[in-house]
Amino acid sequence: MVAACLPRERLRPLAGWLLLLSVGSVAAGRIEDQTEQFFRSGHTNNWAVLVCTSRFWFNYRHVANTLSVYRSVKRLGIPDSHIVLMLADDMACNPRNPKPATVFSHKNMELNVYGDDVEVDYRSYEVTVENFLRVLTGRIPSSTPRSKRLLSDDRSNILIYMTGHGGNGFLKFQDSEEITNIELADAFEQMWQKRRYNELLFIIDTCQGASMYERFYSPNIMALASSQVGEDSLSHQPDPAIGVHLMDRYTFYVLEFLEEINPASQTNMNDLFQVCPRSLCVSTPGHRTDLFQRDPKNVLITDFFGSVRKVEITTDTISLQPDLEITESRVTCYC
Amino acid sequence: MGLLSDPVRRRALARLVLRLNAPLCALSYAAGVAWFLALAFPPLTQRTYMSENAMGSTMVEEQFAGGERARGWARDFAAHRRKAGALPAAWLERAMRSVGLEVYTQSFSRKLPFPDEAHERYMVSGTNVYGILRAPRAASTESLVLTVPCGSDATNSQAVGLLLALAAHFRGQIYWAKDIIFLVTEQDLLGTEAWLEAYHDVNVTGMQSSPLQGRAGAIQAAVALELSTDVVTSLDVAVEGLNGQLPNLDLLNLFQTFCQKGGLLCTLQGKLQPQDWTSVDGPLQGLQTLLLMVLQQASGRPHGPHGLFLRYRVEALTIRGINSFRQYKYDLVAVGKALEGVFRKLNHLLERLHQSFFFYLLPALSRFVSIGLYMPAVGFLLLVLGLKALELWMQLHEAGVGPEEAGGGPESSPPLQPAQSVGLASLVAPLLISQAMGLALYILPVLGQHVATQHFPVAEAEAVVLTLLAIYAAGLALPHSTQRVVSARAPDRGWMALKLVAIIYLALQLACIALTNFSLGFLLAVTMVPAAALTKPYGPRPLYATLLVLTSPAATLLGSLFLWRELQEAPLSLAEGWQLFLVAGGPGSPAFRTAPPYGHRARPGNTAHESPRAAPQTPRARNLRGPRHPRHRKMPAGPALLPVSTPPGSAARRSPAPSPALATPALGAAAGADGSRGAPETAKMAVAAASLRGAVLGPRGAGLPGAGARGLLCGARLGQLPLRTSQAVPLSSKAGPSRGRKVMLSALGMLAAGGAGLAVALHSAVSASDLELHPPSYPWSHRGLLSSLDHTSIRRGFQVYKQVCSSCHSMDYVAYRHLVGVCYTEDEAKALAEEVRGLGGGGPRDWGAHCAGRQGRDGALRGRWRFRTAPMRMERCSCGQGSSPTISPNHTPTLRPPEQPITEHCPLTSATSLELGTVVRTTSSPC
Repeated sequence: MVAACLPRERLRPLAGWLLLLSVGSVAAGRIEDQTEQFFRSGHTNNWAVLVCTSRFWFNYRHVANTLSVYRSVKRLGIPDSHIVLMLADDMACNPRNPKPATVFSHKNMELNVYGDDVEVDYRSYEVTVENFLRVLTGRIPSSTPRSKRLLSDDRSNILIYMTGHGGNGFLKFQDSEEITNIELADAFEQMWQKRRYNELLFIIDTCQGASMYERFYSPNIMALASSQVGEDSLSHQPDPAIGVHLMDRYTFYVLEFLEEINPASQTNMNDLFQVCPRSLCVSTPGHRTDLFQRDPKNVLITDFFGSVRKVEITTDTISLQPDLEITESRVTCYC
Repeated sequence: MGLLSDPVRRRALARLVLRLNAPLCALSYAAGVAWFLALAFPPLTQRTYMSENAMGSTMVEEQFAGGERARGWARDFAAHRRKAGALPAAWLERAMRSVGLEVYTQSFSRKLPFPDEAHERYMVSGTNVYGILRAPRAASTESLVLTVPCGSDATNSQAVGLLLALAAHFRGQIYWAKDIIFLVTEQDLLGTEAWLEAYHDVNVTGMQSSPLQGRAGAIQAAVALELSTDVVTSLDVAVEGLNGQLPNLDLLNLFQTFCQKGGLLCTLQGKLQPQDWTSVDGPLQGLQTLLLMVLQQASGRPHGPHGLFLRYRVEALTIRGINSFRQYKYDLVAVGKALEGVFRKLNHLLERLHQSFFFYLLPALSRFVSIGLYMPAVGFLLLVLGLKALELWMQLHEAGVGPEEAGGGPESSPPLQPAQSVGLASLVAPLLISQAMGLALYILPVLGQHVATQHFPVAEAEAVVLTLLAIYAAGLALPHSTQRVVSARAPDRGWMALKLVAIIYLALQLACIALTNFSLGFLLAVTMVPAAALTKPYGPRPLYATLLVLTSPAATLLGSLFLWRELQEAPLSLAEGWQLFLVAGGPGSPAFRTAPPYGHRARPGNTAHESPRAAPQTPRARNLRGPRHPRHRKMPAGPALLPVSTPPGSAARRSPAPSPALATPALGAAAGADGSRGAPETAKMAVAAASLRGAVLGPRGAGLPGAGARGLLCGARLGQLPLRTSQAVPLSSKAGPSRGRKVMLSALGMLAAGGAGLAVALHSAVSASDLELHPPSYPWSHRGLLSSLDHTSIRRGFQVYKQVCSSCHSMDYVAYRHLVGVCYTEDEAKALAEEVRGLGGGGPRDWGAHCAGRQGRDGALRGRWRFRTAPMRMERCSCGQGSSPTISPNHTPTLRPPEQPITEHCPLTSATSLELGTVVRTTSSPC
C-alpha cells in the first residue's frame, strides 16, 4: 500500500490525470499481488504433532527437545487442542530426577519447559508406531477423545516434529519397535490422499535424520533433519546436577531461533535452514524442499510454528478473483 | 563336492597331513603360545569403551564431603572392635540407624570342613549388619550393594567409616531410583556368602543363618570396599570371581572413568597401566598384568568378596585402597567421590549390565582383549590334538587295510575293519575305569572323611588326603588292566584307538573349560597338550618321564607359583617356593604340617610393587588368609592353578622326587572337597580333566612297563611313514576307509569353520548398538535343513490372497508362471490367468490389447497378478466406447470431504495411489 501511494503523490503535480490513471492501474496490479501473497500459504488452520520416541532416564534430552518445540508452538498460538503431544517417558516424575516436576532445556535451570500447562496426549507406552500412524492417518477407534486426534483438513498446515534414536532409514520407538522411512512416507501419502493437510513441515532430530525424509513422495512436504546419512546427532547442555544431557544440539539451536520469533515475524524458512551450522551442530543439518510448491523464502516460520491469523487493513477496494482457480490448480497439479 | 570327494586331492591332503604331522603340530603349538603372548600387544588389545547408554559419561556432580565424619566413624569402629573382639554389631546398628537407614542384622554359623589351624577355628559364627536406604520415589524393585568385609586379618575400619559417611550423604539425596544396601559382613567371605544365600533364599554351603528380615529388590550391582588407612596412594581393582567368573566389563569401565575423572591412581593386579602402547615396553608391562590375571583367574578363587556376588549374577568388583610410598595421597573424600559417582551412574542404569563383554582379559585397566581374540590361542593348542587324532585315524586304517589288500586284492565290499572292532571293544573298559576314577576323586574324599574319622584315629583333613592316597593306590591297577585289554589282540591298533578316543575327549574337555574359564583351559592345554600328543608306549623313557613330570599338574602348580611371584616382583627362593607349594597343595593337612604357618610371610612393599597393603594379594598371605573360609580351604590356595590331580600311572609316580606325588593327591583333595558342596565348576572340570588325563596316559602307562619296541611311534616315525602311506593307504572313493576319513576331514573342517565363526560372532556380538535395525524373525516351518514348502498350504494361501487380500494388497511383480510347479500345474495356472484376464487382468500394457480383442493366449502365464483392480480397468477399457458401466465406487468426480476415507479397511499402498491418480486424472480430463 505504501509503496503504491508514494509515487502517486510525487507525480501528481507534474503529470495529468492520464498518468494518474495509469499509475493507478499499476497499483491495482500490485494489490492483487499482495492479495495473492496474503493467501499464499493457502492454509486456514495449524496443527502440530510432536513426538518423542525414546524412554529411559538417559534420554531426558529427547523429552526436553519435544517439550521445547511444544513450548514454542504454543507460544506462537497453536492451542493445545491442535497439538498432539506424544512423550514416550515421563521425565518430570522419574525418580532419578533431582528436580521433580521439571524438565529443563538449559543447564543451570534456566528454562523449565515442563510448565504448568503441558497437555500430554500420548504418554509412555501409548507412544507406539501404530498409534503414531493412526494419529497421522486418522484411522482411530471411534472412542478416541478429540484431544488425541489429528483433526486436520485440506486447509491445515501441519508441523510434525520427531526425536529419538534412529539410524539409516528408521527411528526407534520405545526401544522395542521402529518406524521406517518408507512407512512414514506412505503415511504421508495417505494423509495427502485423504486430504488431511495443505502443507506439511517435517522436522526430525535423530542420528542419520536425513534418511527419514528421503523416501517422501507426497506433495507439499518440506522436511528438515538434524544430520545427514552417516552422521550422528549429538547432545548438548550437559548438566552434572541432573546428571544427563538436557537437549540435543540441533533442537537446542532451533529452540534458540524460535525464541526470537513472534507472531508478526517475517522470518522465513530459509532462515530456519541456516539454524545450527555444522560448526555448532557438529552434524550437518539437512533439508528437502523439492516436494514443496512454494519458494521457501516465501514461507513464514509462523506458517507452521504458529497459528497466525493474517490481518491487514487497507482502505482500497480490492476485487478478488474467485479462488476457484487456486483450487483448480491444486486439483489439477497433483492428481 | 571338491576337496573331499576328489580322490587325488584327498590323497594329497592325507599325505600332507601324515607327512607334515609333526611339524604342523609343533607349528600349531608355537602359534598358540605366540598368539597368547601377543594378546598384550595393540592390534589384539583394544581400548575399553562404555557400551551401556545409561552410563555413558561421568557427567554427574559428586558432592560427597564427609571425609571428617568417615574418619570419626572409622576411629569409633576400630575402638569398639578392639573392645568387643568381634564385629561391634550393636554399635554398627546404632550408627546406621543414626544416618537414617533401615537396619537389620543376620547371624550365621558354619562348621568348617576342616579345622582351621591358622586361625584356630572350626565352628565359625558371626553377625552381618546391613542397612537399606530406600529409594524415595521408586518401588523397591532394584537395589545396589556397597559391602565391606570385616575379617581378622583386614579390619577395614576406614572402609566401614567411609561406608557410613556415604550412607549419610546418600540419604540426603532424592534421586535414588534403586534401594542401596550398605552391608558390613563378618568373617570375610564367609559372612558375605551367608548374607547372599539368605538374601536369595538358597543354601548351597550348609550355612546356618537367621533369615533376613529386610530385603530390597533384585541386586543389580555390588561394590566391595577394602580400606584400612586414612589416605591411599592408589586403588586396586579386582575382578576375578569364583571359578574365574568375571563381571560385565562396563562395571570396570565405569569405575575406571571415575578414577580418571577424580585423578585417582588406579591399578589392576597391583600394576599401573603403561602409558605408552606404541613401544614394546608398554605391551610387555601389559603382558605381565595379563599373566597375573590369567593365573588369578585360573585358580578359581574369588579375588575379593565381589567374587561371590558373581555367582548370583550380580555384577560386582572389589576396590582396595593401597597405601604405599608414593608422594601423592588421596584422602577418603576422593575415594568417596569416586564411589558416589559410580553409584549415581549405576542408579541411572535401567536394565542389568549386559551390553559389554563378560569374557575378557585385561592387560591394563583401560585395555581389554575380547573373547573372540583370545580364543584362537587355545584353538591352536587344541589343533595339535586334532592333528594327532587325524594321524592316528589314518594310521589305524592303514594298519587295518594293508595286509588285506596285499593278500586278496581289492574286495568288492569293504569288510569290517579289524582295527575298529578291536579298538571299540577294548576302549570301553579303560574309559569306564578312568571315568570312575574321576568320579571317585570327586566324591569319595569328602564322603570318606566322616567314615575315616569314625573308624580311624585321624583328623578330617588327614582323612581327605588319606582317602585320596587310597584312590591313587587303587588307580595303579589301571594301566595294567588297560594293557591287558588293549594288547590282547592287536597291540598297535589297540593303543592307537585308545589314544585316539582319549585325545578327542581331551580336546573336547579342554575346549569346554576354555570357553567358561579361559585361563584354566589355556594353562591346562599348554601343559597337557604336549604330553598327550607325544606320549606313546615306547621310546626314550627318561625323556618321556622328564616331560611328564614337567607337565604334570604338580609341576605346573609349582611353576605357576614362581611365575606369580616373579610377576609381582617378589621372587621366591627355592625353599620358599617349596613351602608355598606345600601349603597351596593341602592346607593344614598333616603331611605338610612341617610348613610353618607364618614362617614366610610375604615380604612387604617390594620396590615397584604397589604397597605393603597389597600383601594380601600375594599368594603367601592369601594362603594364610584363605583357610579361614571353607571355600578358601577347599579351593587350592593362592595361584594354585589347576586342581587337577595326576592320573594313576603318571610318571610323577616314577619321578625321583617323591613330593609331587604327595602334593597332587592333596590337590585332588582340594578339588574333591570343593566339588561336594557348592559344586563349583572348577572342581568338576578338574575332575573331568583328571579322569581324561588318566584315559590319555593310561595306554602310555600300559606301554611303558611293557618296554616293547613294537608299534608305531607317533612323533618319530617320519622317515618310515611315507612308504607305508604310498603302498597301503587306499584313498579311492569306493574303499571303506575313505568314508570315515571324509567324515573325519569334514568334521575337522566344520570344527575349524565353526570355531572361526564363533570367534567372529563373539567378537562382534557386543558391538550391537542402536544403529541396527533387526528384521523380524518368523519360525517358518520350511526353514529347516530338511523341510520344504507345504504345497497345499501355498495353494490355500493363494486362494485366500486372491479372494481377500488382493482387494487391497497388490503383488504386481509375481507372475502366473511362478505358480507352476508350486501349487498349480501349468494348465491350471493358464486357466487361472485366462480367467482373471477375462475380468481385465494383466499388466497395464495389456489393457488396450484386451479391449481390442488382440489378447494372445501364449502370453497368459507371463502376465502378472492382477485381481484387485478389475472393475476399474473395465471401466477404463470401455471408456472410449462411450458406454460406461459405472461399477467403480470411485467414479465420483466431485471432491470428497477430507474426513471420508477412501479405503477404510486396508492400508493404502503405492499401487492404490496410482489408481487414485488415474481416477482423478480421468475426472479432470476425460478420456
